Amino acid sequence: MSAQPLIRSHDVTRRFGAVEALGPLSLHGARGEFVSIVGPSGCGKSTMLEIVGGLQRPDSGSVFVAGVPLEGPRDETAIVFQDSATLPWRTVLDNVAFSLEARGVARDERRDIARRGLETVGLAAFAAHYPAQLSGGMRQRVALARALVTEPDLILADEPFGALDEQTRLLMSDELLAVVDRLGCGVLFITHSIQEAVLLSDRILVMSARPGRIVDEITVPLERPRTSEVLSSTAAAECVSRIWALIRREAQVAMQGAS
Amino acid sequence: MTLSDSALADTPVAPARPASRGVPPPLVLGIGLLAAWWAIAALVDSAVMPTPVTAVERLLVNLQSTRFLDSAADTVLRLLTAYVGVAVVGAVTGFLLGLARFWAAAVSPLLYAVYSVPKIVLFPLFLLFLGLGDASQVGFAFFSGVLPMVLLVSAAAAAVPPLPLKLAASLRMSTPAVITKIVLPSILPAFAGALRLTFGLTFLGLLIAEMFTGVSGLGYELLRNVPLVRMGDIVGEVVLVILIALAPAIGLRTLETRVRARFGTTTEGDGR
Amino acid sequence: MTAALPRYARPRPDRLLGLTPAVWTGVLAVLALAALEVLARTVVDPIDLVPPTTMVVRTAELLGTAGFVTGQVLPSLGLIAAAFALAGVAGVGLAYTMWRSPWWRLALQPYLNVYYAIPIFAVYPILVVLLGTGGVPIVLLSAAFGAVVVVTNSLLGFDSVPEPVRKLARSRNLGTRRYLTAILLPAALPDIASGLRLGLVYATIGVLATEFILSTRGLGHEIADAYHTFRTADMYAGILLICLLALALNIAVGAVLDRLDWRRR
Repeated sequence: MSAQPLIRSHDVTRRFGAVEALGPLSLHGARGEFVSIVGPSGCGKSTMLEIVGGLQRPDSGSVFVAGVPLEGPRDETAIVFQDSATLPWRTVLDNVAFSLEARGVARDERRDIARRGLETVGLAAFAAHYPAQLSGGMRQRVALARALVTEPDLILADEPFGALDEQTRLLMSDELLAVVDRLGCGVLFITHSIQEAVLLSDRILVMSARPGRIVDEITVPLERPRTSEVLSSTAAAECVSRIWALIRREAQVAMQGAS
Repeated sequence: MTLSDSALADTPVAPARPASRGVPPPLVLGIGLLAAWWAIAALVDSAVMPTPVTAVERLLVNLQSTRFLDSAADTVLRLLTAYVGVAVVGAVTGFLLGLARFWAAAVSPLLYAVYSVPKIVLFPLFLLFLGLGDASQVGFAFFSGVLPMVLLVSAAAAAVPPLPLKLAASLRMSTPAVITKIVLPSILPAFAGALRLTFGLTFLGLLIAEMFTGVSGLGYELLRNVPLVRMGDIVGEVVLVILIALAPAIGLRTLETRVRARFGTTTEGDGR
Repeated sequence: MTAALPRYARPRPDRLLGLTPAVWTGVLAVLALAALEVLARTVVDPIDLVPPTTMVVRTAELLGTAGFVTGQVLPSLGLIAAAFALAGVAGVGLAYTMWRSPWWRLALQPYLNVYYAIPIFAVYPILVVLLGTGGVPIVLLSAAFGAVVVVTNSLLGFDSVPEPVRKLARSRNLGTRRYLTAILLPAALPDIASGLRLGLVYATIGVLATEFILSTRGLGHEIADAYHTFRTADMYAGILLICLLALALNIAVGAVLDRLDWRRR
């Protein structure tokens, strides 16, 4: 691990009214490291991600990104949301260019960059389509391309493949791994799929039911670069069942809390 | 109960249906109704039951008269003035109110309460404060349409989906950029729907106002003929009123369908 | 250094100056009434505007007058009830026939789509010439005004039976009548209820507006008459009464209809 971690949070808490939603929670992540957070529904995973993204302020505790105390959204962080958050009235190309437009990049230039971004995610042929004409998986690739074109050093992803079917998820995971390896950026990835976490991550943080805390941390014993084929290995299977054993009780707590 | 439940649900945009072969059913129904009217009128053979031909003849005769033409022109002009006012004032007010989400939540119940009062009984107030002329008629027509416009647009502006806003915040977009690039496009479907809905309400308000105190206008012409029992004229005027209402109604409907297809959300359900 | 989160992405504040939006609604309403009271007592000519307190007093006086209640209020309420009942029965019935016959639905739909764009009150003079100035044309017009909103909502309801439920019904071989009573009506009931709610609003508007335009009695006529004879206090009292009646009617019928709505339980 490098001397100065990319993300470092210390004793972060968050409450909504009377509800203690999160923490105290401390985590860290290095440049080039893929960290996943798994946990039962409603444990505050998304809240934590939005705090690291600067979209919410913690009620207490501190967050440092790239050594600087976080005060709000930062330019070098890209967020990929749960639903693709594509703008339905813009073409695929202009959806990807949107993040550059927000930075004030001139139209021709941002479209060129967006076109290259679409090539990376294999959607070059759909540049002129509207999001409604695409499948859910394709829309999520648009969102991914939109995040990548700003050349972030940190990607925050909030269950980006949550709405996709199993096969598409695996294929999208392969694409994400390839892209992240090429960019060398750090990733904080929220998911409720243990398998997905094992496939993608270097390190997995297991969160408890609300208020969410880190109850365990697992280093995934798989080499990078990897593809979805590693899931059939014994090492991956062992890792999955180990995490499931940890998370099962928390999931039961969450289920009873919800009913 | 929200306004979108009540007001926009009253005439939902129908899903496209496959066209059936032969004569379109609506045309068959229309011709059938016309034929029935004709048959009954012919059988009754009375002055109070004119045939379609008589009605159209009377309308054509009336359209030769400058006084009647002036009346019709007055109505159209008042309608246009009031409707443009509804569209501009209503949309701008609703938009600004919707941006201030806290105030939208505080003010909307009041506007909704006023909206649910049978507005016609407030018309005398317009006469008292705006006089007997055009001002009170246009004012009342405006009042009939503006509240739903404000309510629908402010509700839409206050309910812009959170994800695009979070995306904008993560990109550190400025507030004006968010308004032009996200908020305005998001509320266009609701605005188009409100344009369609408020047109009917504005025309209704105007016609009632003209019936009550007009010295000109189609509402006045309609009521003027009642004591004279000139049914041919009345029915002819009703036909004219329907024609005046129909063209914009169909146009606004087409506009709404197009706007919804282009700007409607696809990534999230509408939450109903 | 990065900037703080812009306002548009922050959640709506729960309170302003310690007050919730609902409390502010009340505050604004009271302020508006107070402003009206002050205006009426100072600047505005008393022939144009009476203070809200005077309106309340005059309303109470009128309600204490037997002739007013039996001569104006009750007839209007009776017409509203009749128009509402007719609109409800005709609306649900028409929707059912449209649901049964796709051809009929195709034929009617475009007319229903533009129905509320056409000022239906234009037809009122025709009805008056044919049927006189009594209650019949008022009820007919008000029912016609309210029925279409019942039709469109009922159709929404009939269409809302989920596909799996339809398949289940088919697998159980339910007959038409059993399907209607066991599945279709219960499934459509919440939508029919919200249609009826709106139908009541429309029927009320219809009755008051027609009375107002041309009739010989009723609350709408009373307000028009008070205006024409410069009885300003009576006019405002009538308007206030109508606002209160409309509100009470909405709440009462709304409460009944909400009990039919299994989605709200």
